[in-house]
Amino acid sequence: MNIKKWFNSRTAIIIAGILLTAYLFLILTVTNLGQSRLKESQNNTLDLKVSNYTDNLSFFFNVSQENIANLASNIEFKTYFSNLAAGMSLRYGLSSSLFNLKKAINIFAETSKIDQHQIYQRLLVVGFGETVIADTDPNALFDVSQIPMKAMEGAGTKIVMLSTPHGPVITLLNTIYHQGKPVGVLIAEINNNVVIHQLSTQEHISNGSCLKLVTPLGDILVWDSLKALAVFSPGLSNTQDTSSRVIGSFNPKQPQSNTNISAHNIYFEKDVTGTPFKLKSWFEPVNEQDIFTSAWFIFGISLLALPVMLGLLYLMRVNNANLVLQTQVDVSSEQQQKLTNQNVLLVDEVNKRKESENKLAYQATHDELTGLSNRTHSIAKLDKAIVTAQTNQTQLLVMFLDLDNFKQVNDTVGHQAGDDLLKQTSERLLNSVRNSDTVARFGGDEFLIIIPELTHQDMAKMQASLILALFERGFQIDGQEFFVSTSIGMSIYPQDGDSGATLLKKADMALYRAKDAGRNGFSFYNERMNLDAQRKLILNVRLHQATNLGDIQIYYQPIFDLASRKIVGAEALMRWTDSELGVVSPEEFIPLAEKNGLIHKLGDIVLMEACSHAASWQTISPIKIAINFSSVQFRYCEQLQARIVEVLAQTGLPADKLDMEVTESLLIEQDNTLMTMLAYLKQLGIELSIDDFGTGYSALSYLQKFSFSKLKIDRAFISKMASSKADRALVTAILAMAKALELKVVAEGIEDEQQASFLQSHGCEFGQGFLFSRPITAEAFTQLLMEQNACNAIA
Amino acid sequence: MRFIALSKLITKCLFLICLGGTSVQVIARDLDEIQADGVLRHLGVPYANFVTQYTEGSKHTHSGLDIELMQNFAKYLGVEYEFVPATWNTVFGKLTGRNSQFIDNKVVYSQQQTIEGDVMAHGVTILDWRKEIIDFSDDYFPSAVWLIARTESDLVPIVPSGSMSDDITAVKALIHGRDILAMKQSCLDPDLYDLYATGTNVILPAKQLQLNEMVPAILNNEAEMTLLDIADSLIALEKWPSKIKVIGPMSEEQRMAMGFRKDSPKLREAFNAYLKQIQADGSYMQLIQKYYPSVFHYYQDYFSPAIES
Repeated sequence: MNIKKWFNSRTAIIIAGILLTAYLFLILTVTNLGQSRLKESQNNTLDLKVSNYTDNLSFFFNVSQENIANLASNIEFKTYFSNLAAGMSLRYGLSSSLFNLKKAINIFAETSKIDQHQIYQRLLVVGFGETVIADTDPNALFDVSQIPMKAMEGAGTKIVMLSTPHGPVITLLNTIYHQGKPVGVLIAEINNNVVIHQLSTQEHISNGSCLKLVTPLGDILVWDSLKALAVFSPGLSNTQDTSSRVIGSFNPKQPQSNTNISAHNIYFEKDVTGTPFKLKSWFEPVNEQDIFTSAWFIFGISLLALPVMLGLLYLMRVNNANLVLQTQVDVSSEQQQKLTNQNVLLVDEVNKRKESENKLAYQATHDELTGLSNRTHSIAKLDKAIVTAQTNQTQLLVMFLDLDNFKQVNDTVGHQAGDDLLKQTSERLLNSVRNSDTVARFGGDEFLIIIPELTHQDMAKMQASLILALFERGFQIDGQEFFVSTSIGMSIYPQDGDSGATLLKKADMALYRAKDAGRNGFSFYNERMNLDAQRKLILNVRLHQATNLGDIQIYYQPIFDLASRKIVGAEALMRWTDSELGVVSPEEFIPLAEKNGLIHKLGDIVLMEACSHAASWQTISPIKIAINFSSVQFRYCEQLQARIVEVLAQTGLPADKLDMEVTESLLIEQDNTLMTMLAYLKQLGIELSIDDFGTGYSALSYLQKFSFSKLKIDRAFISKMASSKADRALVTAILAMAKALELKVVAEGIEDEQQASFLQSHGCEFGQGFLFSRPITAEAFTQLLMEQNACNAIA
Repeated sequence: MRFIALSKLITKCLFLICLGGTSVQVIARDLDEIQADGVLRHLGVPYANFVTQYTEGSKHTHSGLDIELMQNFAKYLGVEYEFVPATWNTVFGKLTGRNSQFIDNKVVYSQQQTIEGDVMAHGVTILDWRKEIIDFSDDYFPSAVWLIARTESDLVPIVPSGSMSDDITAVKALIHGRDILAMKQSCLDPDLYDLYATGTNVILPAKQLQLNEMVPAILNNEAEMTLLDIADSLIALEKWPSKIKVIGPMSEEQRMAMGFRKDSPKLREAFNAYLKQIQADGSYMQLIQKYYPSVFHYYQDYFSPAIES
């Protein structure tokens, strides 16, 4: 990481600058060193080169002399000189030998070449009589007197310089022998160009040098490139015109003219072994040649370094500016990244909120459990549907559903099961309606169904029947099967109302009607229902007032012993005559009191008053007082029990004179508390009677469980006894059963003697009805009791 | 054309009939027959650089100036070339169908024989007696006969006098009583130069020699001297340098030419025409240069017109 941080573009540029500077210094140093070495090396090389030249030249002359010697001793020479010696004349035979001799030297001159240059420019055979026997260039003049013939008689070979019209020529001489005697000389003029070429093979126009071959007749300028390079012409020609040539010029009179030889040139002088020649040479020292040397080179390199350094400085400036820019770009990019992240978060938040709002909106309009529209939403939907129906002039059906025994399921199996039931119910309901219809949960176990475009009331009936049929199948909850029914109340727009609230109210009324009609059914709203509801409302208010004002009167209907026809007891009955409503039947206001809770107060009034009267009556006759207790009163068993005991104590009525009349419905909802209470009251001596026996849900088993002492046969059986054989049989059966169970029986509603006689004949002990007496006030009853006592006294 | 073709056919038929009748009876071939037959048969005797023979086992390879000339001539005629080897003794018979020999300065004819060739070309010198037997074409090469001696011989070559006849006389004066090699029937026939009259001891080789075997014979001490024509002399001087020397001339200048049957004039004319053509276009000179490069020194006059032309 440190290295990475440290190694940035700035350090890179600095390092590059240092390296470059070091590199330049290195180049300078190496060059300087190299130059020194080069000087030494050049001296050595040049020395070697010059030695090489002289050796080469020496070797060249050696070989050439050998070749000439070989030529001079070959067969053509031998034949010619032999035939000449034999005296043959050119006319007869010798000319053919001469021909061959000439041919031989011509071929030799032509074929002797070195590097494409002819070695010999002329060959001659000269006899010792100084006659030219053969000549490769017979048309040119040849001065035989220059040849040291005398000397050649003794010496085999010789190198001499001959002066010719074209200048001095190096010439090889070779003595020709016949039978051991010298007979002639073979003269070979060396082509100067060959010599020059031999001595300049390693020279180059760009290297300043000057070479001269020193001969006894003068110097041959072999090479001169010391000055005026433009004048130099590297081509070597065979022409003898040397006037304009720098190279190879042969100028014996002015050996050093036209040259630029100076004191500081490197100079060598070497002998050419085996020849009378010397080679003189001058070379330009290395530091003054084309190779860049010290001052200029250093100056050049320094000049080169200057723009490089300036470039680096400029690069650093650019880099700094770049760094600032880069930083700004980085900051900007970072900010942009932050904004992007925030933006993403914001978008997420907006989405979440939207989702939440949607959820809230959904929750606000839908029931969480079933997913159906809730109360508020369904009312809004209903209003909307009404508007649509108004516009389209169509009818609209509102169905109000209530599960009949949902409370039981909820209480017995649990709320979870209740929830499951509601879910399954909603699913079934949804499946039974059209897409255009609305199913909503109105609250608890209540559902609302809105069906627009109702064509006919029969369609509503069909729909209601369909929904009822949905509940014929059991509900599977926690592996158990439950059977639940429903009641439906229906109202129709526009006939039942033109507002949502009205339609709902009326459907609710219809629902109550259906419930009252025995549940598992449906009912349409009608105007009668509305009136009933209004009466109930008024009754409710008036009943409160009546209770508080003591407008409830207690009437007593005497109970007779059918055998003795004497009063043995009385049944306390409530009578209410309202100042506005007139006489209100107990059958109408007692159920109302049971619902609104006034039953407890009414019961208490009846208990207190009846017990008081009964206690007062004991002085006249020891009669029993029968008081009806509503099953609702038993919901608070302990209070009721305490009140009974308290009233008995207050009134002084013996407990065994109180007869509590309860209906069969109380016993159906039996529990341990009720059992305990009843057992306690029995123990006190209070009698228990079953009222309205045979009209309710009779389960005979409870007759055994509770210690009842009496049954009261409902007036409905008694009134139909005369006309209905079946009822007669029933009454007979009840009486027989009571006998068997050792229960006393009281028959209600006896209206004629016939009925009384029949009942008596069949073992019914007691009876009450219009035949004996209507319910009468306490005073009237007291009067009646006293009259009976009077009668008994008379008797 | 049809007539010519018919006559050619009749001629061929007659030729075949004659052949069937007598085996030696020969109808001579001239140009037409050669062209019809499609082959030119060249009779040649190995001699100097005119006809050379290399023998390797049973295989003989022939080359030389005349071989090349005849091959080119055959090409010129548009016929195939065939070489028929012969000797100096048989070559006339093979050409003419009747062998002839020059005995005692007279031509002596022998029996008729089969003709084997159409032209003889091997540096044949034009001699009078030969003209009796055959016809010569135009001459194509100069010649003469020289006297050659071994180098160690005490005979001193003559100093040219400028006159050929004087030089011959001087040479003949030198050879009295000395052994000299000669050969009958050839250009070296002693009768041609009246050698016997000079008092020299003429030695004729015991066995048949080729002309180019004459020098080896004197080098073998079979004789001190020999006659030799110039062509052979030039070759001998190169072959045996410093072994022999030329003493001087034995004959006047001679000419060489191709020999034809007397009854084949058309062929001869055709050759003459061909010779003129090659002399004119320079190819003749090239051939001479190739086979006899040094001959120009001796016969500058002979060759210069050709060169000029």
